[in-house]
Amino acid sequence: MTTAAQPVARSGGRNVPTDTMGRPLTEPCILFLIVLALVTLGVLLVYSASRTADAADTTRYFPKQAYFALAGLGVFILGAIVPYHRLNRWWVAIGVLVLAVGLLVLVLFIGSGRGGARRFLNLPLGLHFQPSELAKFAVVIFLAWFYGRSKARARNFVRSFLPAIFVIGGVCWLIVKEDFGTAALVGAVAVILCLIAGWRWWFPTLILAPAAVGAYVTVWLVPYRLDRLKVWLDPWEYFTGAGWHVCQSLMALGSGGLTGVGLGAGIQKLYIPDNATDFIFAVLCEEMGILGGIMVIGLFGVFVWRAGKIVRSAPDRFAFLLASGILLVIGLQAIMNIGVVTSALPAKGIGLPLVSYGGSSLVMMCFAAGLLASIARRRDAQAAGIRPLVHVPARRG
Amino acid sequence: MTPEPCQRRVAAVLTVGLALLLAALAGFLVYIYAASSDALAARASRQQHMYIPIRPMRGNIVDAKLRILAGSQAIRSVFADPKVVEDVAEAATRVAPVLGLDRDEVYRTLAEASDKRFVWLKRRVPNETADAIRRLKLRGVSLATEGVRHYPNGSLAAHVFGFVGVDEQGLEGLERLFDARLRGRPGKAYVLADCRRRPIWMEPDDFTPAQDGQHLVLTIDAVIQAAAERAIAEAVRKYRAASATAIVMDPTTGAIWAMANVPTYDPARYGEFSADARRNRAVTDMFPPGSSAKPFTAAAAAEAGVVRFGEVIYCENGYWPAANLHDAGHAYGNLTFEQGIQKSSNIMMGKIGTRFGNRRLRDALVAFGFGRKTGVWLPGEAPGLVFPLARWTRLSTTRVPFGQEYMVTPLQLITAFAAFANGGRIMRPKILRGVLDNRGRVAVDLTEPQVVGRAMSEKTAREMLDRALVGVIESGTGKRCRIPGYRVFGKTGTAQKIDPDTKRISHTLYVGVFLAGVPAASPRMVVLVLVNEPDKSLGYYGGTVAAPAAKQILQQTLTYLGIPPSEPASGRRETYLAGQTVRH
Repeated sequence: MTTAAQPVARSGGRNVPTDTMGRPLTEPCILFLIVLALVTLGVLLVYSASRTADAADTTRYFPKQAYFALAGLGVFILGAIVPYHRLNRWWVAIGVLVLAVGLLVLVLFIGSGRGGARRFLNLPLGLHFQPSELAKFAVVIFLAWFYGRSKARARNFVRSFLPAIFVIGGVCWLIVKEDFGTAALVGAVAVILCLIAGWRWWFPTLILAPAAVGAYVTVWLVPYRLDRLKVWLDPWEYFTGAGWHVCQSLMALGSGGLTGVGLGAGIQKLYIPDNATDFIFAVLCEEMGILGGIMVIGLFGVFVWRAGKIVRSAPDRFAFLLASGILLVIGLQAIMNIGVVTSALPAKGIGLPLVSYGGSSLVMMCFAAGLLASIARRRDAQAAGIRPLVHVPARRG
Repeated sequence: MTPEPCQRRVAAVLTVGLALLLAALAGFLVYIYAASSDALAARASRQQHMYIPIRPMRGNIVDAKLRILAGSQAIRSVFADPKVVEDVAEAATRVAPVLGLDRDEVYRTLAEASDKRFVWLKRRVPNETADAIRRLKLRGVSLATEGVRHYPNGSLAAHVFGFVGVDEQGLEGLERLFDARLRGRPGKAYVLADCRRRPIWMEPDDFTPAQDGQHLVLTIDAVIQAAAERAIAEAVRKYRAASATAIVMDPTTGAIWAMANVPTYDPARYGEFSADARRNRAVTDMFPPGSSAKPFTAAAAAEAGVVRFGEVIYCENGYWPAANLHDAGHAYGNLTFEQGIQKSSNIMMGKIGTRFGNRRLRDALVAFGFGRKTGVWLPGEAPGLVFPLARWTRLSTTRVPFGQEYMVTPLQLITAFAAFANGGRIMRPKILRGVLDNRGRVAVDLTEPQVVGRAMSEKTAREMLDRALVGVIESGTGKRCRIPGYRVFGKTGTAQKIDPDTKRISHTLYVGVFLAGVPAASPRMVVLVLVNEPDKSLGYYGGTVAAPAAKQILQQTLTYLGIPPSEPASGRRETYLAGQTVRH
């Protein structure tokens, strides 16, 4: 309990977050608080948004989401306790990837979902599993392992670019059929991660040609995706059709005003399809106002800041890549989701991390955030020169 | 310290890049708020609010004693929103057996309306079916509440009040004539609705309640109406007639107590009956009145002084060659004026006609209300037919006095006959006693009698009643209508119809008419019974086919109204005390 005497290296005159006893909060603690805030808000909003089409069943999503939230927080702690470098094994990285790919293939055949898109695997107890959520992190873990090896030669075309692009392309191709948004996210995250790992700058240009063809095929040949682009330019033109989601979402932003109509009191939310999943940010903005929206954006900002610190001080190459990947997945997905809801980006089905309804996403995101905490713990332990698994206030750097 | 040389740079780029994007989104959010928040909120409010109509209950139609003849109640109907129905085949398979419909038929209905938002699947289903549909929880199949007419007394007086269509719109009878009053005014509520237009919250400041329709109170009395319907149904059965009509009227006010027709129909299933069965023959059909009209010309002639009561007129022993006239059935020699009416002598009426002249004959018919509508509030009333003088011939002079060469409706005939019972006045027949508003208060009071005109003096009316019309029952052609204890007055009539094929007077198609009233001293009611086209082999005289039915109606009405007999019944001296018969 020698908090005051703890040397706070490098943070010198800066304000360091402290707990009630004056000790500086450890990185896992801060991450846990951010995750807790977002998940709690998510459960409340999901409850509020549950009053949708079926008036007889106003708590359709709430109990499930509450259990998912508890499970998610548990998984966060699990991820934080388990040393992340246990994942840095060839059989773990490849195993997770193969599992994800296998489930993605499976979902193409026996998947279920609304509106013709097959995104879920049915599990017992009325649960559904969305393999694309696993796939996001499977790709990140695989790439982190692949480029984290000591004999990895990232600048080599044959030994780096080809295997990586094979994996990325394969996973994206499996996802894109049912879920364009997630595929784009995975592709973007993976390519940025590869660049971080040391790809030559011109490697990504080689993908442009096939990606253009792929974009043509998926955007122009699937009619509703082209519509979505047109709708993005002027949603009101397509009010009763493809623009319905976005227009209703914008009206929700407008009805909320500065401080919102109050949690649970929204009416416009009833007009938004998928208001518990992809458009939960609109519910937030109606009920808590623009300020509530900015608050959540701020929480993601804090997350990006703290995760960025972990990336900066990651104790090894695998941790560095893993942390970058997790930061990119959560950060970019939040940006894409909020961009769609505010009509800044064309519509695509992608949830708000940690907030939207959905067990697979919530648990995976929590686990990923837990891994970040695990990295921070090892870093702090190394810095203190003490073995991990013992709580030691951090010496940063 | 860091294992990777680029680690700091990468972390900085990632953090700053993502933070900038998040900041941009926050800025965009603020921009939306500042630039278009009000317009968006207004638009949202517009789409969230809507007016929903509140259905008024259709007013009841009740008889003079406020017994419901036609009332309304709420019932549920099943409709579909084909755009919301996910799987038409599945919906049809599940809905059809519950509704008792053919699956393919439901499928076709849904498929044909696939671009519409509304189609009825089945209207007016019983409660159990409606609940079963609700339990199915099929998307796009819903229930709506409608009003439906119900008839606690079945087809009683159905010709008078008519019927309503499937949307409770009046199509016939009083339902049609007074549709606007019965319908009421729909209200509306301003509600907050969800995206499937289900009301969530009703704005209390913007609510207009529905105004239920007003109730019609008829002059019809259900008991008398039932007696009339029973009596003529029996007559039609007994004499194998094509149709029959009965009207009971209060002569002093013109109020119609009963108006019955056979064949009749069920207003709840009006579509299954022919227009012929649904027609209110009492006002729409015309026929030559025949002998039943003799009192009218006779009274007019007596009033004018061309003939006196007690005057003896020679009846040519059955055939009067000068006018080519026969007396049907009997050959009479000398008859007094009133005997001629009682025995219904055509020859005597013809002679009176020649004394009276065409102009005065026609004036008499007009004075009794023939040739124009009576003004009763019933749709489709026929005016009857009285030719203009220019079309009268020499034959008319001897034919018109006994009811040929003009046409009347049953209602006109009884209205004219009521003049004998009320001192010579022609009343406007009344079917409505009044209108009640939806809280039961009197909205329109129609009880005040309306006199249209005077057909003869009070003295002539009284004399015709006492000297001629009572005798018709006592000793003339109407003996079958004698009611012990009461002095009944009446007149029979048998008219030959015009054969629709030959356009000439038919010798097989007859109309038997009987007019009667009771009690003679101060008449409380008059009744008309008309039996149309009875089987000639079973009888066709008005006194044969119509008089028994009239007697039945009169007797039952007397009992119902509690009118005491004016004289002891045949041979027995009875005193009626408080409804009990005490024999001395």
